[in-house]
Amino acid sequence: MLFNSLSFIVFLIIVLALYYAPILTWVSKKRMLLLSSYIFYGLWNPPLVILLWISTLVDWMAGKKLAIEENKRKRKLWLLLSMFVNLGFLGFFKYGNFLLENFTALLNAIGIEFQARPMDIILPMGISFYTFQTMSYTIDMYQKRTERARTFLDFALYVTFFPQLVAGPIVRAQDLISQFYEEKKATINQFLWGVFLLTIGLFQKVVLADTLLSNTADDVYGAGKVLHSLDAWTGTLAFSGQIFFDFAGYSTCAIGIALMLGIILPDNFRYPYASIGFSDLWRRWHISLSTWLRDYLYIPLGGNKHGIIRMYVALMVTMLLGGLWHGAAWTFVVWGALHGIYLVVERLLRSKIHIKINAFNGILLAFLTYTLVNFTWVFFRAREFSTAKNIIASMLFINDGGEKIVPSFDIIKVFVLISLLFICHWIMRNTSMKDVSLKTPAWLLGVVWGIMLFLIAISQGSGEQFIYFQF
Amino acid sequence: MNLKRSFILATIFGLILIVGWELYWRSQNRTPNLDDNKALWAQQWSKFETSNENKIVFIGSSRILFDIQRPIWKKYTNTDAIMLGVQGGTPLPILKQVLEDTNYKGLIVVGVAPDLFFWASEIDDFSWKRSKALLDYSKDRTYAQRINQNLSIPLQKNLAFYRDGNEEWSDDVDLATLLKNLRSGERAGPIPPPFFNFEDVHLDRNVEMSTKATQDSVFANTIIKAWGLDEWEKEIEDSEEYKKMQKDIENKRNKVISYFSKYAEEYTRKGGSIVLVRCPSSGKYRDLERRDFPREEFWDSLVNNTNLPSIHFEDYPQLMGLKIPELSHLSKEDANFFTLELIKIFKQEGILSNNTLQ
Repeated sequence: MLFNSLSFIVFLIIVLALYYAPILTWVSKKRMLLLSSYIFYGLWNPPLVILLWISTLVDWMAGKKLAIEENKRKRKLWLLLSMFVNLGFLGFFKYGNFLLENFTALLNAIGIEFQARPMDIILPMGISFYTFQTMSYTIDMYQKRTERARTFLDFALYVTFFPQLVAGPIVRAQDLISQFYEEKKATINQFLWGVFLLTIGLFQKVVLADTLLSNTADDVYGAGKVLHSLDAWTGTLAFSGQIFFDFAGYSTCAIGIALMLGIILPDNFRYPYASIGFSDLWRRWHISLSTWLRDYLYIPLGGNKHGIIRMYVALMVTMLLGGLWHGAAWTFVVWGALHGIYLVVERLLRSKIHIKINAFNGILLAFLTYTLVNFTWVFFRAREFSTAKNIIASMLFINDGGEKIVPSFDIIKVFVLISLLFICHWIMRNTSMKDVSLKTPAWLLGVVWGIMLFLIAISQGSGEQFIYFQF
Repeated sequence: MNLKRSFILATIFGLILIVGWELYWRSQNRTPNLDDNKALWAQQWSKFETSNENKIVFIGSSRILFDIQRPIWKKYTNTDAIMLGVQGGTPLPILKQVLEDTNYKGLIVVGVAPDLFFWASEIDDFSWKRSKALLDYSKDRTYAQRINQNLSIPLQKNLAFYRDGNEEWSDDVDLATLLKNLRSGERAGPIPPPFFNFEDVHLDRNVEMSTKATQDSVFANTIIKAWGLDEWEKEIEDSEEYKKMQKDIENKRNKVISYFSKYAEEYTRKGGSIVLVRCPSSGKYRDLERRDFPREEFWDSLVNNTNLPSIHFEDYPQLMGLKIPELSHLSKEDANFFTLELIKIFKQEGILSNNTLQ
């Protein structure tokens, strides 16, 4: 089920009515939330709920054993079981065809004639998110960083909690499970702030991403031609805005919906396009994934505790795998590699050059960071390397006389919108929406809120899927 | 911050804007209308797969969709007309799916619109893609999408500004279309002429030409312009480009006839029956069809290769001279007449039994 759909509005109203009706105990409310979460997921493809159940059962069992087992070998085996099941699902459903294609290409390259029929595999929605979330539980249990979930119900709800089930934020056990132990009820202000966040999230997704930006990005990346530099830049900038509004929109909706139930989810985005450098970017973009990769991949690989070379290797491996997490294609690996290289170069430069950041050089560095980020988005969006190569060449003004396919109106629309996005991120980089709202007169907030509702209603859209569902 | 006050204000202000927006579009003579979207098509496909009623299936493109009126068909034949025509689509992938994935052995009426039917032999061809997209959606649609459609219908029926379509009509009033209409003379080439909605759609996917398109010739002319007949006509017969296009059409025609013959043969062997129907077109559209899809080389070749019963409107005097406001689809009144006459012809030709005609 999609947040930006009529069925979800009805679903949410029913869930909230049951949650706040004085007829259910807290345990019954949690059961109702769990059942609702399965319905939320199952209305997309019912059989794939079984994967969620298996993941839940295996990690519950592993966690239970890890809580009492002291034998190191056995503890490791329980951890490996959890990893095997979760990564096995991920490997089969997400990377099965990719591995097969590469295996075939490798055999062909060494002269062995082999043709494999692509496997007809459905990618379960949100599998990358919920497997990472459940794995964090067993890894934390193994490292004794978190306590075992008190009941199976609490654990199952942690794995399946519908607001963040399919596209995050990827929440750690200690941040979410403990919230299920005692009855939660949103205060009126929390509830209304949740509604406000849901409105903002839908506005970002339906109006900004789908209505104002996606068509331009789709036209440019689907053109199949060598494009004029202005067109290539317009398409890439449009995509940079689309993916931010799409994904941040989902996270904002998720946080808002959870808050309406009295559950607090962590922030996932903090105005990333005003980042000064790439370390800063990854502290602001998809925060729950970057901290996951830091804690469960980068640090175990050595982090910065074993010398510079090891640190750079750990950084590159983390970013390459981070790229692959986003999609089973080499273009995503290149996207991750570029980010890894940016991070390595940034650390090298920081050790040599010390700049005191002020408002003037800060905005220039943020602009430089954002410009470099746009080159990485090319590989993220392009389906083939040939497309990426053409777009990059056009963006670097290497292609002479490329074709003009983007209408002038759309160029102006994208540049105005993206400029506003960048300025907005810069102004907001050291504050939060909550702080700004607190300083805003109630009438002004109401008017802006009403206009957003109106624009969502007249944009309508055709219930486009969120981009990150495919990851 | 007083969130309660902001929320109340937002609700009132948002509602005022939405109601104002609705009233504005109603004042502009826009009325609520259902969209012939993929969900509506999928409902017909689902009905086709599950219904035990006495039924006949119509496949083809928009001409069969506009020209066959389901209430007339039901009234005079006592059979349910399942309408699986696809606007801008070809019937070939639909026929293949019926053959391979269903047990249906009844009558299939195949509407043949030459430029869509004979010019799509591959999965990447325009009209093939359009039909395939609907089949894929029908197969893959989720329960959530089914619920969305059921919730969307009351909104489509009651709100003039609300749309849930897959076609991008130029007179849609969603934000994306309104912004698109602001585009003017272009760095990216000429803007295509506007393509306005000219159909009234019913829940059972019975589609009628709108009164405006029937009565307002200026409006009908905008639709004719959208067909791109002027550009089509400009293809000079001696030019290299034209020769290339002709060669392409010829290749595709041969493939289409070969595929269709194969599917039709398998279907009739299975016990089913197929009839080919060429719905009317007129004016410049018909002239260009004659020029680039001459009857002898296309329609007659298809009929001869398949040996299927066939009805070409030009072979029946009563089907000539009907009102085709935008040269390609019949007006509502003449679609009723055409449907009734077609039933009579079917009975005369033994395609339908006589006792079904009341």
